[in-house]
Amino acid sequence: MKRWFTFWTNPILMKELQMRMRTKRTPWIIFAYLGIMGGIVLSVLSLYEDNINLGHTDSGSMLFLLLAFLQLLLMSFVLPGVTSGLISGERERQTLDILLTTSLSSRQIVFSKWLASLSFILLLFISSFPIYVIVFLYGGIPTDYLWKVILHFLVTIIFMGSLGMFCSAFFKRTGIATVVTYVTVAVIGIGLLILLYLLVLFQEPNLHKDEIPIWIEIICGLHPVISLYLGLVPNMFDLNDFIWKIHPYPFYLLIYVVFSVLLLFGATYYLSPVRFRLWKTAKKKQI
Amino acid sequence: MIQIENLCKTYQQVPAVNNLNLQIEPGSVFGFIGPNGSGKTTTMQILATLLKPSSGKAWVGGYDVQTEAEEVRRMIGYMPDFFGVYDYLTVMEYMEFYGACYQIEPSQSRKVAKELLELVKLSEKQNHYVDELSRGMQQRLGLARCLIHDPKVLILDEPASGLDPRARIEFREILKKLQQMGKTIMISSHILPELADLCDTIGVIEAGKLVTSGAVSDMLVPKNQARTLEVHVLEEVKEAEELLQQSEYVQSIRVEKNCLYVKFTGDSTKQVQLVQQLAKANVPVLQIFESKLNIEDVFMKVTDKEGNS
Ligand SMILES: Nc1ncnc2c1ncn2[C@@H]1O[C@H](COP(=O)(O)OP(=O)(O)OP(=O)(O)O)[C@@H](O)[C@H]1O
Ligand SMILES: [Mg+2]
Repeated sequence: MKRWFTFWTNPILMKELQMRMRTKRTPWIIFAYLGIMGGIVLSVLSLYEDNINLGHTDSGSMLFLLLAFLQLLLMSFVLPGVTSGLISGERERQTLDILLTTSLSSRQIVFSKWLASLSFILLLFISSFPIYVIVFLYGGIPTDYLWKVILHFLVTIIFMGSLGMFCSAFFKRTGIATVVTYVTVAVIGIGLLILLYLLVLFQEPNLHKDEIPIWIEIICGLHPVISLYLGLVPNMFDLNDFIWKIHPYPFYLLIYVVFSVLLLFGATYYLSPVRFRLWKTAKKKQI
Repeated sequence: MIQIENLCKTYQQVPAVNNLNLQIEPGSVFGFIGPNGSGKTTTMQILATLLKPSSGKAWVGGYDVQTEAEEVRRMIGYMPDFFGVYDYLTVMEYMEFYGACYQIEPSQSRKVAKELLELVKLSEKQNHYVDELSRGMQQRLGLARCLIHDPKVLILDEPASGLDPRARIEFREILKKLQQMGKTIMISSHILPELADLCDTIGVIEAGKLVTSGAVSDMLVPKNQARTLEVHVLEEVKEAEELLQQSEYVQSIRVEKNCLYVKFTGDSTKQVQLVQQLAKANVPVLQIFESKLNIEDVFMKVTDKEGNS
């Protein structure tokens, strides 16, 4: 138990948080983040006021969905930038070697840096709560929406954080790591949509609602927006009596948690100077 | 304390360290000398558990650097040749951060950090940001940092680079103090005369191989070899040369202005006789002394030999 405690409360986490709070960039990120989100939501709200009568059940939940997607979009801009420099930055700054000769294991270094960046993202998330409250006041939002969105959101930031960490450990330069992270996020967000569109386009003649091919389900499950959408509004696209072989929403949660774990292990692997020491028994056998 | 056996490290088929064997006794200060690219940094990184050797083994304090890396890391304080510091961190926080990295209690690490900053004369800078310190100060801070967990072995890769002459002397004093505290120190440098004063043993590495190693005193005065005497005269150089040539212990003489470099094989009594002869012949001898082989000469000689063979 104590081991676990020291594992998580290690100095890197503290220092990362401390340094992040001291940089001048941090308040600007928070400011810009809330500004963009609040701006868009409020302008949509003012449009709503004119066109749609208040209290209509759908308008509240549509607004809520919009907010959730907006948050996903913004996160995919912020997170790669925050995480992809965490290890390569130390390498470029020439502090990594020193860190690796202390009694911290590479596992601890990876996990605590990852945790530190996630806590910063969580701070952003929590600071956006007032905007959610405004939307909630409109009512008509089913109760399961909230926790489903939060769960989905957590998995997404965990994944993007792990992706950034991995690239940061894998590539020597922060620049490359950042670009690769953004490209990967773009491929998942936009590339999958295009792929889905093309596939549906070519398959359309022999596509029936009752027998959607499994790969379409998989792509739906891999895409953050589609999976969230189908998780919240299952009867969209007239799919209410359709039985998913693999339901996109739980599939998404599961697959990205698995990806995250693999990426974090990968990051630890590429960070370890004397690879590979994830398990103690493995290292004993080498003798 | 440090033992290296048949250590090899190749980078893409190019050997950086080639079958290195080395032993460093506890409490000694070992100077690791070699020209650029000879594999000093590579060897030290392997000892600091940062690099995996291609083959061979190394132990620090009896722990294998590959299989018992955690124990090795507790034993050593490693200072890389180039290292950076973090922004937005004060000197004290910097020290405390690394203290925490070694799981030292905060109060304890604060106390030790204070003492160490005193040692490296950075006490007044406690509350300055580390990235605003000068290069030399960062270097001293780096030394303080690698002492925070009271390591038994110090591995310092060119610690004196970037220091002004005065700071170098101070650095040497600090290292002397550390030696008195019983630490084993391995230090690499190409500023050779400095190492000579500081180290008790040196090893010369060239192209990944250890060329020679041994006590500094042995290196400086090669045994069973001709010594070089420097005879400075005011005038009558020709006469002095002829006189000296008569002696059976003089191998050769090289004349430079008013100075004669005499290769002399005799012992000290023979040397006295030589001086007396010169005096009898009324040669105005200004001074005569044995020119100690400079450690740089040793170095050049040893590395040259390797290059020619
Ligand atoms: N990461 C690397 N990749 C490929 N080759 C390397 C790498 N690091 C070092 N080398 C090579 O290994 C050899 C030894 O390098 P090393 O840095 O150990 O030398 P050094 O003795 O520390 O030199 P210096 O006095 O310049 O610091 C050099 O020929 C160098 O080119
Ligand atoms: Mg070097």
